[in-house]
Amino acid sequence: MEAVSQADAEIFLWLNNGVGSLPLLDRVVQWIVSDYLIPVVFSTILLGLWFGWRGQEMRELHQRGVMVAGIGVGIANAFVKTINAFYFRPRPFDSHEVSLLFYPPTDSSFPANPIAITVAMATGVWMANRKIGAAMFGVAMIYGLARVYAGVFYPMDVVGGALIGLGAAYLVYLVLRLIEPVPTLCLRLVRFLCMA
Amino acid sequence: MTFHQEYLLLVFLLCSGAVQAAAAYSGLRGLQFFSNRRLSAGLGMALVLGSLVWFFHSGGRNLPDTNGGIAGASQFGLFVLGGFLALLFTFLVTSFANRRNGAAARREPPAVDTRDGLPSLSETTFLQALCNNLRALWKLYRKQTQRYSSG
Repeated sequence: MEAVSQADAEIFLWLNNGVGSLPLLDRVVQWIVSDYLIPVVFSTILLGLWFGWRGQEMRELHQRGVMVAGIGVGIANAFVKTINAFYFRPRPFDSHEVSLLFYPPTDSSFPANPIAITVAMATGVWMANRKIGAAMFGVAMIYGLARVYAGVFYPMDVVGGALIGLGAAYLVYLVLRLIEPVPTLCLRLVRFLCMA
Repeated sequence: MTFHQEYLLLVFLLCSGAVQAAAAYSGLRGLQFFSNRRLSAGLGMALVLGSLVWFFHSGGRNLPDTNGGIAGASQFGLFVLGGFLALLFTFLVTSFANRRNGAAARREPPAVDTRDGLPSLSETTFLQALCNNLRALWKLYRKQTQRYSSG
């Protein structure tokens, strides 16, 4: 465990040491790590996927993916809060010399909540649409890497967050399958209101 | 305008744009602001890109929630509110703007079942489709209750 923590800190310091050498990259990272950009864009993609498909079968497939993603975000968030209630890991800037490209958050470093949320969304979409889901996974990975580079997370925090997001969305997928026909009835109700 | 209001406006514009682009792509004419599909798709993309550029032109807006930023729960609440307002605005405006197309579709029986949900919006407007569904439900209810009527 000690060795993993040591390696985690070393990878973090190696990545964070790059801050300041390429000012343009630092500026781009400051945009990417924003609390608002990636989560809002992902949520907008979910809305677009809900409305944007031809053919009942494809539309329903994507709407089920959006359902998994939306509920998965809530479950992932609940998992992170539960872990935070029992375990607190100080942020990297609390114990190392760090070049920060972000404000210093005060909550636990592990697991990375923003990554858990974005990966949960990507997983839900991936279950319905491999191409868009894979693209979202790619962006979520860049988001995680950028947060490490910016000095607010250790790499293991990002990995932990990603696993929680992945697990939460998959759990929702399984539960929705288990409680069928409830999801179908919900979709029918929304369809009656001409919104699905 | 406060940061919270700016965020709400960003979500409103993003969601409106996403719905326009999605409606144009999936042929839901009843949800388009313009009857021309390309114009609606262009407007949708312009709203999405324009709102992002407007909100983030000064940087990532990295503010802690203790110093003017938006906490996670508030962010979620504002996104739901902004999305709801964008949908409401789209449904009302398109129902008014496309009412003639919808009226024509009402005279001739629509090619798709009006109880099909979103596909019905390729023929009628949102309000007309919703009214059709409610009318169909009312008819069904009357039929069911008449069966057990003693009068």
